[in-house]
Amino acid sequence: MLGAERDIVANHVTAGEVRLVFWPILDLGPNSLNAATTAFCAGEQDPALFWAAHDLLFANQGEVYGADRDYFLNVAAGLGLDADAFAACYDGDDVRAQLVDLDATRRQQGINQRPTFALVSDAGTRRLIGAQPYDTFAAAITALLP
Amino acid sequence: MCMRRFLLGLLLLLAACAPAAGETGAPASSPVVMTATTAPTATTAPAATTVRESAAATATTVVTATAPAGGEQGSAAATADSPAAATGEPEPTAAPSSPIAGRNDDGTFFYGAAAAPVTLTDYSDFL
Repeated sequence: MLGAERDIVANHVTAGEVRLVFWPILDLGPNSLNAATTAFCAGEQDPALFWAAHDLLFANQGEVYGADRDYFLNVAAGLGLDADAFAACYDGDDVRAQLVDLDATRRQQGINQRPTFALVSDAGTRRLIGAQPYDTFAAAITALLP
Repeated sequence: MCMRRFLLGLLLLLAACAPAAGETGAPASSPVVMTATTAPTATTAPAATTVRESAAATATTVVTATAPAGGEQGSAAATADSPAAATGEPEPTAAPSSPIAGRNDDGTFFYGAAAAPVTLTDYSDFL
């Protein structure tokens, strides 16, 4: 959700109102896992680079579906990641196993549609399903603020 | 001769009256005279002061204008809507509210202040 996310970050995350969390869904074949692995392996090197990879992958979503290993290695190189460390992470099992576990957990939580957005605060919980305009997020956030 | 004496006397009389004429003209031209006299000091000094003040004011403006810009560089769009940015004052809360990228215990990544009251979890597929 790159569109509304930019406004959410600009207006609510930066203001200290919202903490954004990304939870991977692996519904669309091997490259769902490969793309998530790329982002998580970037995050292994620096959490800020997870978000850089996240933005890059979503911005090039049309290419990611048919991408191969070299594509993801090039994504890592473009972000300035340590190439050897990234390749070891990408080809390894640890992050992939973690991603599969996270995917299983969200199923157990009843998250079955993508994207799904769960907003939680002391004031309550809201769940938005499907891509939503920024205004919908803003209204939900405002309703949950103390 | 009498006529010459009369004219001479008249000239003397006029001469005697001349200062009085200058004095009467003085009020009208007084500001000019005063300005001309005091201008080198009176106008220069305030002018110099004014320049310094405006220079100082400009410097202050630049600093306060730069401060929010720096804040924006530090955290994108952080100060655009803030009251502090509007007033040009330093933003004491900039650092605490600056988003932080990190990782949760469950392995997911987050972006935002730890004390943010709302957590928005995006369950998505990159494809």
